[in-house]
Amino acid sequence: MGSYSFKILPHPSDVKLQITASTKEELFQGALAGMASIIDAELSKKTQIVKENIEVQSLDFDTLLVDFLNEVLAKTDISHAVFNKLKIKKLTDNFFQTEIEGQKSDYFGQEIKAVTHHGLKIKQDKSGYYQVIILFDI
Amino acid sequence: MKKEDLIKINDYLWEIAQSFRSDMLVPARFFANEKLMGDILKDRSLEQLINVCTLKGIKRYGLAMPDIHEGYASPIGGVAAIDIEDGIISPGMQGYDINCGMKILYSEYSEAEIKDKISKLAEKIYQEVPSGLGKGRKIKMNMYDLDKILEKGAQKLVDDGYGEKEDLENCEAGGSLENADASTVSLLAKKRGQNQVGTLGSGNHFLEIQKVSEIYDEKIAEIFGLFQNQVVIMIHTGSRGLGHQVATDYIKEFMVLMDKYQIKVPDREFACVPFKSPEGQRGFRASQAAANYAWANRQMITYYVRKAWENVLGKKAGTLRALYDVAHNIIKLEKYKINNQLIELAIHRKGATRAFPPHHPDIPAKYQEVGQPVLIPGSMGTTSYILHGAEEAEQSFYSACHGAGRTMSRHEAIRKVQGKELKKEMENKGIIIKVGSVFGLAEEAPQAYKNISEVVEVVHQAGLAKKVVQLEPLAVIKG
Repeated sequence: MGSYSFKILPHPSDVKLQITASTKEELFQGALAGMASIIDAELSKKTQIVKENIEVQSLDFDTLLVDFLNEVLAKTDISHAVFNKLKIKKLTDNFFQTEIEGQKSDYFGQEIKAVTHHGLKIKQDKSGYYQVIILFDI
Repeated sequence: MKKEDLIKINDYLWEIAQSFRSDMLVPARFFANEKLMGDILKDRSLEQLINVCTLKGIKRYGLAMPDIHEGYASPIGGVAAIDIEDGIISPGMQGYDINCGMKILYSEYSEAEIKDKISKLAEKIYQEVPSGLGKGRKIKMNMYDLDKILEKGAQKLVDDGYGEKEDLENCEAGGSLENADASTVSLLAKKRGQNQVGTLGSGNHFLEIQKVSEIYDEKIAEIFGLFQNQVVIMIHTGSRGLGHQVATDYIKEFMVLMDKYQIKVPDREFACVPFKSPEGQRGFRASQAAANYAWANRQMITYYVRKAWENVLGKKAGTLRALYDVAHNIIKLEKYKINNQLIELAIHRKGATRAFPPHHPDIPAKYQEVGQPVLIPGSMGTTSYILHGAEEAEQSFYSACHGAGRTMSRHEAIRKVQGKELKKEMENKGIIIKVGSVFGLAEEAPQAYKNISEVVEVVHQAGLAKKVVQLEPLAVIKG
């Protein structure tokens, strides 16, 4: 079973998120959960569950992650929901098909304008863990 | 970057030679004094400014204003003037919040005359103008009207009765850019924009009720309709989710096309294509449409602020008149003399306010003798400034700073500043606070920014714009 973790790093004007994950799939899950954590939505137990399908084709694996998060961001804006769970259908180095699940919310603590490609590089360390730092424009 | 790498041109202007890095096409120049230099050298903003100097078609210099700080692609405060014949268009060089900008409305009242009503007014404005975070406005705009907004901007709303003709006269580009084309904006972007016209957003976006606290130039203040202790309202917001999506869409598209056009950039966020290519032209028209959306957004907020004003002060209170509305994240076509030839340039401003001088054909008749009002907000709870455009600003392609400029990350600000205490501190100074989140308040704490007075002094001394009045906050309204 895979695992992931994320933490916010300092940046003068925006938000930098560092994600570490044992697999590529967990890297996407970790990035999604990290983004939801930045949005910091107010949720109640009775909140309505929302499911959406996403399909992204990208230039490469680095871009795929950012393009996926930007797709989620658009759905967040349109459906007023914050998404933090994935059901992956297909993941290659430039294609991602997934169902995302989240909850409706009337209030987001933080608005993310966009997920940027700035300084983006997914790396794999000696123990096989993936790591990436993503800059969010807020 | 070390201070020894910089060439001092004068007390307010510094240069990095073109020879500093082999891929620079022009030298870099930025406006700062010795006091601001410490913060500028602390982050990666100058490295990012050097990156701006590598953009194909850039003319004269890669420029940065005195509020320069680290962003992505260009630093915040960056200006790039790109030749449209052989140069590129780069959405990342204007930022995701297309036409983020400022608008000021001025009243006929002094603070003393309506002091007891300010709190109620702030509360009413807070109710009327939602942040739009989570849920948007209750009314969802139909696609036909949305397309009209994308192509006509604030003019569409004024035609529909949401403002006065004078609002358009006192707005950059009349609140409507003619090259906008709604068909170049994706359905996803339009869906994001359907219920966000008239919403403020979060982050550093805000509404403030302010008073004129100091007058530096009596004659020009009078032309601007400003007087001592006068109550004014400042609006800071942009194109919301629609603009963010337009930038996202075209950065993604341009990234794929870079190989085709054999363009290399030092940061992927500069993703660009030739300005005159079919893709570049679509991106430009979409960017202009998003800019129109932002002007419509600030116009709709103006409508709701006026509604709140009338509700609290009554119909006899007179209207709030628009002083000016100006963008600080935008790509605009402007003409400049380069090597004695007048050519059209795509001016990319990212966190830089356009500041046209006296007698410029693109400013309203009433400001012809003195230049356009240049609106520069301070950080939350501190002073803001109104300046006027000056001829010396030709050196910066008529651009000035757009604010104070951050020195501390939002995360660090939240860690160091207690939102509740900051709220209390500001209330003790007599400032009324209406905010959705105290965390949001903490991340925008004045300690997280440079000293606005210092930054504006550099703008004034360098001649980018000249000080007219200082403004002090009476109430802060934030999402």
